[in-house]
Amino acid sequence: MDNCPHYLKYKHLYVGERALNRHEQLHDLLDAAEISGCYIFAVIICIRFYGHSNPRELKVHQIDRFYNWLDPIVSAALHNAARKQ
Amino acid sequence: MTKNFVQELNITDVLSGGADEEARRLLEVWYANNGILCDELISLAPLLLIFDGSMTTASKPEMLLCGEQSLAAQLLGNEWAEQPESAVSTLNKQYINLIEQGYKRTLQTNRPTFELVSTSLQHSQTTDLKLRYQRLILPFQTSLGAPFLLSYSHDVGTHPRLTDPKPNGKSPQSLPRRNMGQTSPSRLARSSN
Repeated sequence: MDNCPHYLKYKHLYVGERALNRHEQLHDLLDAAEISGCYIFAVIICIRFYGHSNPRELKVHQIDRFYNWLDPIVSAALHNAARKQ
Repeated sequence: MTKNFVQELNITDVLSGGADEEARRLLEVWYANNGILCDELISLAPLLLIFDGSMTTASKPEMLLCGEQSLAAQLLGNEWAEQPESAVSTLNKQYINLIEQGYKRTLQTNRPTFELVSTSLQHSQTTDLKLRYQRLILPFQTSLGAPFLLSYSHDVGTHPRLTDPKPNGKSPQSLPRRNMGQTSPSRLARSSN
């Protein structure tokens, strides 16, 4: 994994030996969405379920559902972009 | 007996009155942004189905999002729409085989597809529909080139199949035409801004 481009490491689970908390994992996912050009889907999902367009402001109890929706899309965007390069 | 067919229509008809306003807007967004995902799609997203654009000729379309105001969500319910990873597999194979060609053609040509779909759709034991709808499929991609398919469908005459009586004894009725005197979701979104 060390030789992967930064955006392919988005599923960080640790910083050093400290596990990422849920908000940090959310921001990690959203950073990957921005880098991969699919942040629009994050906004769409946030509007659909939470009525606003800023997924970085999600509350901790909202993150799991949002993450489960967006994660496959970001994975697809990263994977398919890598295949094109 | 329901005639099952997909008729490819002229894409220029979308811009010249041959489709509804939402289809026209969606196609205009595609042209204006050269098929790159853009913020103008946000207000249209509730009407759309979004698919992973990496499917091959051997694979089935993988749905990533089903808009809560899409034709599919209207017909099959929000519970179906909120399980995109498994939703397509719950539909009858005849229907999937018929409609997936449009997605594959869109990916192969990287051009929009505009079709009239007429078929029957079965889902679980409670949904048996004779479908007729226009479908616009657009190949969008991210700034890094990752492909997605965005699909918009507009009902032009879907009916429950006239088979056995419904359990509640009521006769089947046509689905209401959304654009006949009703405000479309995108109009509501624009008017509220």
